[in-house]
Amino acid sequence: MKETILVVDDEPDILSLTDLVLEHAGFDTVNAKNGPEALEKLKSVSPDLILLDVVMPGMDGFELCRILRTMPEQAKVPIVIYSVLYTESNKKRSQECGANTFISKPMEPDDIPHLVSVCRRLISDYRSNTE
Amino acid sequence: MKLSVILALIFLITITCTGVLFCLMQLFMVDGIVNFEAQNVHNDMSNLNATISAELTQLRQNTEDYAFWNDTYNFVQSPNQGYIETNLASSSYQVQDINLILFVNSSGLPVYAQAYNLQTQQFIPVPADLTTKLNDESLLVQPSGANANSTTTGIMTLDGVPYLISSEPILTSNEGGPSDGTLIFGQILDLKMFSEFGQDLGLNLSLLPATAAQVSTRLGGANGSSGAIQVSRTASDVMTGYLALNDIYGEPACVIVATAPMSVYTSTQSMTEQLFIAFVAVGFLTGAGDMFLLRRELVSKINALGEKVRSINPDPGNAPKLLETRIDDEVQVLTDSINDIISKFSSSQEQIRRSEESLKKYSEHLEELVERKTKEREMLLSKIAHELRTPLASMMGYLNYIMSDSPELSNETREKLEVVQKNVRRLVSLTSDILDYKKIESGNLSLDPKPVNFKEILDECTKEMAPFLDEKRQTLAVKVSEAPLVVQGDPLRLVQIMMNLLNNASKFTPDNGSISVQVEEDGGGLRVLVSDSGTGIRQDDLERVFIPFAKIEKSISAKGTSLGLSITKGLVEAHGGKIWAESQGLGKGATFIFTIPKLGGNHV
Repeated sequence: MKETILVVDDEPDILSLTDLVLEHAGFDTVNAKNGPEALEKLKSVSPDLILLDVVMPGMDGFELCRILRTMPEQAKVPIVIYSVLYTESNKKRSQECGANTFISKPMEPDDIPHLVSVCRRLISDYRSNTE
Repeated sequence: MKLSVILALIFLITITCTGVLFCLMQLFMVDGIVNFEAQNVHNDMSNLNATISAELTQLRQNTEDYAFWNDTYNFVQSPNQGYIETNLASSSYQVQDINLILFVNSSGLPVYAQAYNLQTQQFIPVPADLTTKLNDESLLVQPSGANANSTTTGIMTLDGVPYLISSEPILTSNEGGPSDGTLIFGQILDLKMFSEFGQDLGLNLSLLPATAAQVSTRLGGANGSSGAIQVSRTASDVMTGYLALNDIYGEPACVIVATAPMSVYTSTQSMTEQLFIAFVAVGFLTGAGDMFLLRRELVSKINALGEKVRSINPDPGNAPKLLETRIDDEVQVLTDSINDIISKFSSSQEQIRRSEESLKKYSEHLEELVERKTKEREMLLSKIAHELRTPLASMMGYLNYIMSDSPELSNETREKLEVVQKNVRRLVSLTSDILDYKKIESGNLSLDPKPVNFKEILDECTKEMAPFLDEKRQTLAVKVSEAPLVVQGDPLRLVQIMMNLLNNASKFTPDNGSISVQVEEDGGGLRVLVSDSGTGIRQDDLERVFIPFAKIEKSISAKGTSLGLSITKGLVEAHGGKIWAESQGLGKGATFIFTIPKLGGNHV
């Protein structure tokens, strides 16, 4: 059974790129363009990992993450926040809102393999913990 | 009223009273006393005159006793020794106190003439003048037929000596006539006759045989009758009385001068002087007291004022209170001046305070503005960076996906995609630089420090640089000591520093040039030198190269953002280090040296 990753990003191009990369790596992806949509999707889907963009209209990734962590069924799910701005403050805020890690969106050639490997590692850790 | 005014008034009144009193005394009292003294002396002189008159009366009485006597009557007619021995012996002179006896017969010839010196008790010749007077002047001789009432009594000067003279007709004992000749008695006008009188009155008498001129001078030209009296003040404390006596002919005979000490005046004067001295002394004492009181009062008031001035609070936010003033205060003027200064001080303080306030407001406003503008700019920068980086992310992502997962790509296409990828990376690094620069500039750069072996950083960088160096066929020589070079730092930032410097060196070094890196231990920290054989830097530009976007002549290349060195400087400084450039000049290459201290900087 394929692991499912919920990707939440308002940028359709990034969304499709991420889908492409993650599906190429063997994951199933579910997309949401914003926070409310993501919460809606979570009613029917139980992802193995949630990938959140930071800058989104209405509710940003940090806020969404905080909400997710209050939901019992999402409390342990690995959450990765990614952004085009790989900054200390974003890193810090990711930790504060309960995300597992913060990574950069593809800015360097290495960033895509890094995204995939982070997802794999977190899902495997999550799976081994829940089993 | 001010104390000083009161004291001054007291002083003035004292002095004025003294002066007025003294003047009044001089005017009324002293003049009165002088007049009184003069009157006294005048009275004394009158008494003297009366005494002389009494003497003359006595002399006349004595003369009449002899003249109206039968024996005398007979003697004149027939002079005999018996009468002389009996009645004209020296005892007769002594008893009657007379000096001269002269019997003149009816023919006017002297029958008997004798003078007697009462002091030596000897008979002496009659004055020579007497004969002349008898001849020339008929006044001495009583006319024939004169009765008892006929007499000549008065003063006559004989041989310069004044005599009291009494001339009587010689009659029988019952005063019957006819008269037979004249009897003349003479008594030297002697001060002895007044001695007792003079002593009693404290007069100092002298007798001056006076010519008419002398008398007229003495008596102020008054050609008065016998007994004219003149009193004048001959010295400040001497009153002199003059009694002018005329002879029987009405001519000045002599002057009796009496000098009297003005005892009342003198004592009054000395009393006045003492009073004056007392007044002056009191005045001066009052004055001195005034001065002392004034001084004490002033000193204490000035001290109190000084105390008040000292206690003025110079706190600029607290306007100093004005000092209390009293209108009757000696130091009122001083206090007013100080208050003036305080008011000026206060108003200038107030002005300063207002200026400071407005300056503060202005600077707050400015700060706010700057803060807002900075925030806006940062927001804008973040937005721009984000907006730029989002499409760059998808570009980079897709390129990466295509290039790594499309084995069907021809080498030619792959090379072209690599060019795209390289330029996308440049754009990405540009946005990264902008964000870093923004962080450094706003002081928001934060480091994630940990112990780092700088050799690993170097390895990573040389690996990273290799493709670029190869492209320009540049050599990179790394000289590092054997010992591990561990410092506290942010590895990513240290890599960024080294990469920036290496990129910079490569950028300004021509193809086939050489670059060298030398790492030394420096007091526990590191000193890193990145040298190149490139275009070099002018002496003037050594510091400007770290200024962002500074136009450095011939050193601006199409490549890079010019932000690299500023960011590098910011990163080095965030580590507590220093960075500077050295160059021998244009065309002679450059060396960038930076230090990373052992403990790291503030952000570490």
